[in-house]
Amino acid sequence: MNLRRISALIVKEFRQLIRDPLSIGLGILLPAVLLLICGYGMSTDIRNIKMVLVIPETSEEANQIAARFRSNGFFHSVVVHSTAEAERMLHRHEVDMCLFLPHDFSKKCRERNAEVFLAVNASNPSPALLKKGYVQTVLAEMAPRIFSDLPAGSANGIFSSDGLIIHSRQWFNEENRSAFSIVPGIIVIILTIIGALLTSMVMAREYELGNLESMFVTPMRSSEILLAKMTVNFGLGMVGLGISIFIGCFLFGVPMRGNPLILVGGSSLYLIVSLSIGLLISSLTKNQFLAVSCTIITTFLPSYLLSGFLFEIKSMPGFLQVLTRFIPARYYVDFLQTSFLVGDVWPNIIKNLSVLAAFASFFFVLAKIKNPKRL
Amino acid sequence: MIIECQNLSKTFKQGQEKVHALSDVSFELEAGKIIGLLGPDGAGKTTLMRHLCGLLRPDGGSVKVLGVDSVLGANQIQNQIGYVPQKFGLYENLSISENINLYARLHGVSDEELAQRVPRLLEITRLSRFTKRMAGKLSGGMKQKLALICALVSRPRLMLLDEPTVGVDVLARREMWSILRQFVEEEAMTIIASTAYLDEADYCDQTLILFEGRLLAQGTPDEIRKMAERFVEDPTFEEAFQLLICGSVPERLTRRNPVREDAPVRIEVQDLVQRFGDFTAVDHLSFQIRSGEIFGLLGANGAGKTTTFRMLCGLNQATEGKITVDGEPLARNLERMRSQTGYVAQKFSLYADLSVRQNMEFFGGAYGVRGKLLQERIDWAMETFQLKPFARMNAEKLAMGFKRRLAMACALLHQPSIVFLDEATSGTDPISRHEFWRKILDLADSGVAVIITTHFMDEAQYCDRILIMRDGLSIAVGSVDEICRQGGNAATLEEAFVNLVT
Repeated sequence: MNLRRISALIVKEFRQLIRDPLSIGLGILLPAVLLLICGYGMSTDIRNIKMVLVIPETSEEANQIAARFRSNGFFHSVVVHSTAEAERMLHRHEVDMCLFLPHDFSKKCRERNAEVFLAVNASNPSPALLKKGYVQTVLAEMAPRIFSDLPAGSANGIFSSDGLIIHSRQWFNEENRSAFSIVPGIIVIILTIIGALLTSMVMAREYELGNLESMFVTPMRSSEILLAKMTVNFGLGMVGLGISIFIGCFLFGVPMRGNPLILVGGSSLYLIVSLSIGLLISSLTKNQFLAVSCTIITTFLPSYLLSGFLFEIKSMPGFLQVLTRFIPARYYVDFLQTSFLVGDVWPNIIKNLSVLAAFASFFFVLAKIKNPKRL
Repeated sequence: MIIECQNLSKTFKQGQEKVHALSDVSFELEAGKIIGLLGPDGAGKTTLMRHLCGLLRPDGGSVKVLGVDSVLGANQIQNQIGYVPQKFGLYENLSISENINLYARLHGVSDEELAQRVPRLLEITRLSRFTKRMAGKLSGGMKQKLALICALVSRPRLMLLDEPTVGVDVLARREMWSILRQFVEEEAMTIIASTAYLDEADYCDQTLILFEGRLLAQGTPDEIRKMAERFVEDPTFEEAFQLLICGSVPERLTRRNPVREDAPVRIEVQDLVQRFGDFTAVDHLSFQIRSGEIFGLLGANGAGKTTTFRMLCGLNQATEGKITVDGEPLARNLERMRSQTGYVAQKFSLYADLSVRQNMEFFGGAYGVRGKLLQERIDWAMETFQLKPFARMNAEKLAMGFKRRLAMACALLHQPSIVFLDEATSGTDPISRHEFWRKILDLADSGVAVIITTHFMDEAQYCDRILIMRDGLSIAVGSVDEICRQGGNAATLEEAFVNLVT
């Protein structure tokens, strides 16, 4: 290692980077665009639920329920009197759900034996479940008003026969905002793209253009060029990280409950893992197109699909769960979500970061071995 | 001895087959000279160069460079030599001076030495005015000179240049060789340069002749030429090479049936102009090509050759002027013109995974030759180009010379009466090239009009008439002898060309 040579290589990498619109785009524009699109568009929150209330017989209790849904911002409700009409509306997808009140609703309420029937369009099961939950919540809140002698909070009683009362509260993401879970996920994606994808491209490009052939016939060591490429792309990755944190915290109001220094430190570690994978792939393929394809399949897609960012790992089939253990992004997603939303949980931090450190050293050593000064 | 190479062998695996890139190559070289490594494409020049820099490990034998073994002391060799690979190794989005600084620092050249040496290097290569320009915006010749500076900046004792003159015009090639000569004389440097252009042998003190991975001969250009003296009078370097390859010197090529004065005019170009915005690429060009004539279009890079060529093929529309084929305007008869035209380029467009016969069937069909006629023409082509034994072989497996024959065969299946050749034989070995030109001359003898563009005076020698272009203008037209007279009574066509275009 020779500092003068490394600094010359870093200067070269830096100049190439700032003159390459693609790199700048990936480092600065991509985080912003991805966060804005996904933060607003990929929201799993449900609003504007279209529902039809079937009230065969007007009564004070039924009117109260209808008024409640009308005034609730999550629902667009209409009232009909015939079951057949409501069913037709559900079939035509004009509404997402029907709430049927019985003929003798008022009487049953007085007898404390009221039953309602809810039909939900469950073509897409997860949103259907969420919508059902919303209706239950609204009705539960209604109960004490209808049954004035019940204590507040024991509302579910009227809908459950066994008298079990559930008090639930959401932790870490109290308002159930998707942005809170998406922002950490996007940071993972961005660091993967800059680390693995961009790095594998720039290194493979050197092989393709034949530049390494003449660089090798100098006193330069192959670890020096690897180090220079890592340094510059590390800087770019950090810029991307900064932009993502800024947009996440200030635009989407994602809380940062852990120590920011630990968050940045852990992210650097993940970035080094990505960079090493990128360098390894490029020196194995020596071809930009192949390098990009391999990187997308081995790092980018898993960081989306198998990291626990979009899909819960515990609900995957067994062999996929085992596979996720070999995906560095999995540990980073866990680390990030904890860091942002929970705080500094040391056992979690130590576990995730030591796995990432092991990945980083493994891939860097492999990249060094696979980059001999020979063609 | 600066280089000792003993029984060097290298094989590469290509799918199932083994390719012997180098077999049993042994030679020794003395310091302080320009050594030319001559051989056609695929002779093993690049493989040998890479062994000399320690970038490849030999399968057999050994190489010692500057007294150091190339495997054990690869780093030590790489610290002391300069190397310019065929692809230059320049960074396109770094400027000239940034590229130079990068290589200087990698070589450990101190800043004082750099400040002292670089202006001199830039001056010799006449790049001083462009130091801020990005390497990607330089012409081929300028890139080549910049790559040379990058390798020279550390004052290496040995320079290795892999085809430093490929793809550039005669002027740039002459300049490159004179720069190299200057460094050998001023800095007691040894230079090994490879080239596929045999006419460049005379720039070298020593030559190594490589063919199909074997070293055929080593000696000064005169020694090599002398070998062929008992076969022909006043032999050329190319003839000596032919002797080394096949043990005899083929008959010199002559027209059996020269163009007659009254041969009909096939193509007539009148006041042809092509403008791109403010830039006039072709400026009032006029010439005629007759039946049975071989017509050469020559000029430095950027002189307008390619533009003219494209207009003749109907690929570009002329801004002004007229092109007539057999007395009819080209624009209105493109379809007919194309069905009478054959085209052979330096990079032939064969389908690698179709067999020889399938390639012929495809290209014949594309030109509208079908059925019984197509079968007859394919039989003719197999016979004429001796491709029969390979009919079922995939084109990619053919040796270089046979690929060229196939490309030519494909272009002639529809019996064109006008044939375009775009640097069709550069990089070919002298035997295939001789055969190739024999066929071209036969075509012309039978009345076909042949138009060639080329940088290589070797190819231009065969032309009946030559037109030399500069800055879009025609500056000389005539036979080889007439051009030599117009170029200040020059002894060779190359000299005449240089005199005319500078």
